[in-house]
Order: sequence, then C-alpha cells, then structure tokens
Amino acid sequence: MKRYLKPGLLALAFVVALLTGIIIGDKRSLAEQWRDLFHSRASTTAFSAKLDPNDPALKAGLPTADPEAIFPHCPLNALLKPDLTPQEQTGIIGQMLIDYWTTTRTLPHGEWSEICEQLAGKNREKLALVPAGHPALGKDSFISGKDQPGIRLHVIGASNCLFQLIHNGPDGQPYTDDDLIRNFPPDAETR
Amino acid sequence: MPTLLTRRNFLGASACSAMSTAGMLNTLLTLRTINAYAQDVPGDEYRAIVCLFLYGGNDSNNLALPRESSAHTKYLASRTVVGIPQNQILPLNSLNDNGMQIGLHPNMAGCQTLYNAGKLALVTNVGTLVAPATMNDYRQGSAAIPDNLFSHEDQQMAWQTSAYTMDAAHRRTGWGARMAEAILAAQGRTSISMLVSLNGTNFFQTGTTLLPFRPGPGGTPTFKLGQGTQTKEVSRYTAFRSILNAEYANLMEDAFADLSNQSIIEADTINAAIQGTSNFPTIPTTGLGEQLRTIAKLVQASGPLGMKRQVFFCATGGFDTHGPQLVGHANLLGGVSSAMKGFQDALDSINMGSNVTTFTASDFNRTFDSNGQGTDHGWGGHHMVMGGAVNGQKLYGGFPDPDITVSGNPLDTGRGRWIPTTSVDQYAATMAKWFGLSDSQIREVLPTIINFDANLGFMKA
Repeated sequence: MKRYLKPGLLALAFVVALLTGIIIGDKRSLAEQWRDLFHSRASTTAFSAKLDPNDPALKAGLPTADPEAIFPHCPLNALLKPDLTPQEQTGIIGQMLIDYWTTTRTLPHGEWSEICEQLAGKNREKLALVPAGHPALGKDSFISGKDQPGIRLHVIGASNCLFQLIHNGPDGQPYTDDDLIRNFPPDAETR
Repeated sequence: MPTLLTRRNFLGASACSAMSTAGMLNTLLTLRTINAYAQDVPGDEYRAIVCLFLYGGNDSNNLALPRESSAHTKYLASRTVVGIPQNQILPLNSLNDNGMQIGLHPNMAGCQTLYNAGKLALVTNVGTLVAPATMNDYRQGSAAIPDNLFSHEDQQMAWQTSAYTMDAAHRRTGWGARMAEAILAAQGRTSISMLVSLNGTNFFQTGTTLLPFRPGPGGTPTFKLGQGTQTKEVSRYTAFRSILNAEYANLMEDAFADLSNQSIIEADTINAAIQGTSNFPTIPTTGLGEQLRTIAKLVQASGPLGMKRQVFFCATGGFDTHGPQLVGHANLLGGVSSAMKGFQDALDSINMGSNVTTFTASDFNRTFDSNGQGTDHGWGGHHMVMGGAVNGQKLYGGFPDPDITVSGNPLDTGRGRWIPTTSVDQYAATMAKWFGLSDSQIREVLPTIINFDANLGFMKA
C-alpha cells in the first residue's frame, strides 16, 4: 500500500496545479467563473428543450440529403433531382426502360402495380432495376417528387422496344391536351 | 446364253428395282395427297374471308353490353365515366340470350339490323391464349399465357399470326396466308394472289410462298408507265416489260424482275376485271368504306378472275382510347357499323352475301374500369362475324360478369381485363373449316388449336 502513496500524491499535486493554472489563467474572479459554469449548464438544457426541427436556421445548418443516395445503384434515383425538365425526366426513365429491354427483351407492361413488380425483378431474367416503394414510383405513374406531374408508360411494342412516355403536363392530369408525349425511338408510331 | 443369277447381278437388280419403286411410290403418294386436298374442298363455290382489323385495341365492352337492369347497374358502376345509359343501348333479338339481354352500342344500328336478320353473330370474350387459362395461370405466368400481353404490336401480331409466344415456330407467317397456302390446290388459277390487302403490309397475310396483292384506294391499282396511250409511252412500257421478262443470272435481279412482272400482270388483270363492276352505293365513302368497296368489286370480279378462294384484309385505326373516349369511340363504332352494313348489302345485291364472311379483330379489349378519361389496355374482347353463311342472331362464348367493383370476379385480372374464354385459334378455326380446310390442315395452320374445341359453331356447314 505504501508503495502507491508517493505516486498518488504526485498525481494529485499535478491535477491541483493544473486546475490552479486554469483558474488563474482566466481573468474573471473565482465566483464569476463558478456562476458562468452553472449558467452555461442551465442554458444548454433550456435550448435542447426548445429545439424546432422546422427552424430554417437550423435546417440551413444541416447537410443536404443526396437524393441519389436513397437507394444504391437505382437508375431512377436521378429522376428525384430537383429542377429537371420533362425532357430530362423522360430521358432518365426512357434510358432505364431501354436498359431493361436490353436484358429482358421485353418491356414492363400491364397495370401500374404489375409494371412496378416487373421493374423490381418479376421478369424472366430476374432483373431488378427499381426496388418496390422507391419514391419515383408514384400511385399510378413515375413521379419526380411529391405532387409532381406523373409520367405514364404506354407500351407500343414490348418485344421490339417501342414505347411512349406521357408526361401529365402543367395541369397534372393524364390524357389531356397539355400532355407531353415522347416516343422511344422518336419515330415510333401507333395506329 | 442364259444369265446366271450371281450375287453381283442380284444386288444390282435389287438396287435398280428399289430405286424405281421408291420413285413410283413417291409419285403415287404425292398424287394421293393432292387428291385428298382436292376432296377436302367442299363444293366449287367461291368463298372469301375478310379480316376487318380495328387497330389500337377496341373497347368492345361498349360494343356488346348488358341491357338487363341488374347487369346494367353493375356495368355502369364498374365503367363509371365511360358507361352508356341503359335506354340508349340497341336491343338485339338473340336466339340464345344469356340472361343479360346483350345489346349493341347506340351508334351501331347497321349491325343491329344485320344481327336481327341473322347475318351477324357476336363471339364474346375472345383473346390470345396458348391454352385455356385461369386466374392462377395468369398470376403464375404459366405456359397458357401469351407473351407480352397489353402491348399493341405484340398483340396485333399474336392475333394475326396465332403465335402467342416469342419462340413459336409459326411466328413469321399469318394464319390468313397459311390458310390460303393450305388450300392452294383448290385454286385453279394462281396468276392472281389469293391474298389481297387493302391496308398495307400486315402479319395476317404474310406467307411462306404467297404474298398479298395490295390495290390502291378505290380498287384501281395503277402502273403509271402503262397508263399512257401515246406511241412513245407504249414503246417505253413495252421496253420495260421486255427488260422484266429477260433472264438474269443474278438471283436477286431475277427475283426482282419476276416480282415486278407479276405485280404488273396482276394490276392489269384486276383493273380489266373490275372495270365493269358496280360502284356499290350502299357502302359509305369513308376510309374503311373505300376499302370494303374495293373488296366488293374484287368479289364481283372473282368469276372473270378465276378465283375460288380469297383472303382479304382491311383495317381502320384510332381505337387506342386512353383519353376522353365516349364521343370519339362512338364515332369509330358508328363508322365500322355503317361500313359493315353497306358492305353486306353490296354483297347481297350481287348474290354473294353467303360467299363472303367478314370478321372483326383488334389488338385487345380495354379495361372495364376507366382511367378517369378513357380506358387502358385489356385482353379478351367481343367480336362480330358477318355474312350469309354465319349462324347469326346468336352469342357465342362466355360473357364476363360486368361487376368488377367487388373482388372475386374469376375473369378479372385487374381493372376488368378479362381472361379470354374463347381463343383466337377457335375463332379462326371455325372460319377455316367453312373456308374448306380439313381438320388436319386446320391443325397445321393453327398449331395451338389442339388445346381447344376447334369449332364454335357460328358458321353454317
């Protein structure tokens, strides 16, 4: 026991000397320093209780989420980027469908729920391009974000990769006069 | 000196005998086959089949629809904005009503008259099928389910070729052409193609050996070089024909010359034959009407042309009604109905009404429910067969329960896309039988018919 006494006293003296140095180094009085320490702990507790997740200042300080990082290697992640033109949006979806066709030699077809299933891997080649529940898969069409106009797939020829992508247009309603229709390939025709 | 029967002599004589016998037997068998084909053709009368293709996928849920109150209530609840009020549906005096009192679209008065006169039948819920299918087959994607359902071009091709899978051996030829090729022996004269298309290239008439002849609008196929009367033009025409008649060492050049020559001969022959035909004023002057007028003229000219069997193809489009469809679709059906009525009246006026059978076909039916504006791609649908040889005034095939508002409809694969209860092959085979094909020929022309009953009974024997 005696053999620990000397080093212990030495360590205690070192800590006391360190604290004395810190206190002496601060130009305020000992009482002020003690009050500040107490006040600082109390105000931290109060700030935590009032934290508003919708505070714009707080939001501005947070890092921006990368929409493409939601699902790894999903070709539709790019559709979620803000400020894309309908031309760019249909280009992203069109390229994905061409990639799908290149592997499966068919296009996803049927009801929207069936199209989603096929994109998620229910196809001959078990090719999964877009996981179920992906935010770019809307209620009945592809979407670039919440409340954005839908983009519908109109299959003309599944075996020869002919299709149309129909953007709902400014009115947000499908199959109206303001729809933007893009053919893949551009000279695809329907009778 | 008598020949000794040595081993060498014996073997030599046996070989010669075997070779000559084989040749003779082969000839006899060929003659027997030709004879069998010739005997299979019933009678010597002219018969023609006309395919009227409705491109885009006709919403036949509004072509044939229930009038009976409770069935119509279910229909209207399911169809919502694309439904037709009960009091507007044209009644049919069906000889075998299924309890739903099936009627026709309000704009189809022409077809109503034909139906009630026994010259038109409805074949319901027809579609592309490899074998009879159930909901479970659909869910599992079994072998009975065709490839690429709900895709326009794939389903047009499937309807016209009766090939329902991508690997089907007969995918490259149409059943119209295969039917004509099977019965070619019955056709005495072959300088004019048995296949005539009034609507461009199609799968239905693509054959292995036969090609369709494609007259222009109004039935006047023209070869410009041959139309002039001046000496210079006649000389140019004669020179051109001489070039085509020459022999070419290059196979491509030779084939091209033969094909061009054949086209000119067919055009000249057909032009001459239809010159004195009627103009058939009962047929409307619409796009479809003009196609049917040309067919009527060619049917009238079939005697001078020496035709015994012909397969015609005509078509009209615009049936892909995803957008607001009530008015546009009504106009389309009205156009089809008046053209069909005018065509049948025209044929009756030249006593050929029973020699020609016209049938409708389309990519697919459409969804029974609405997308809010129109309808989307479906599957099994209702079709019409018209002609004096049709056992008309009847419904053939099952009619789906028009209620899709509750789950459990056994034919509803979702949104009222009906699983067909009659296959395209059954529809085709019934007409092929009337056309003169034997049962074995029908099995060759329509390979998947072995999975179904081959005769639906809508054609008179």
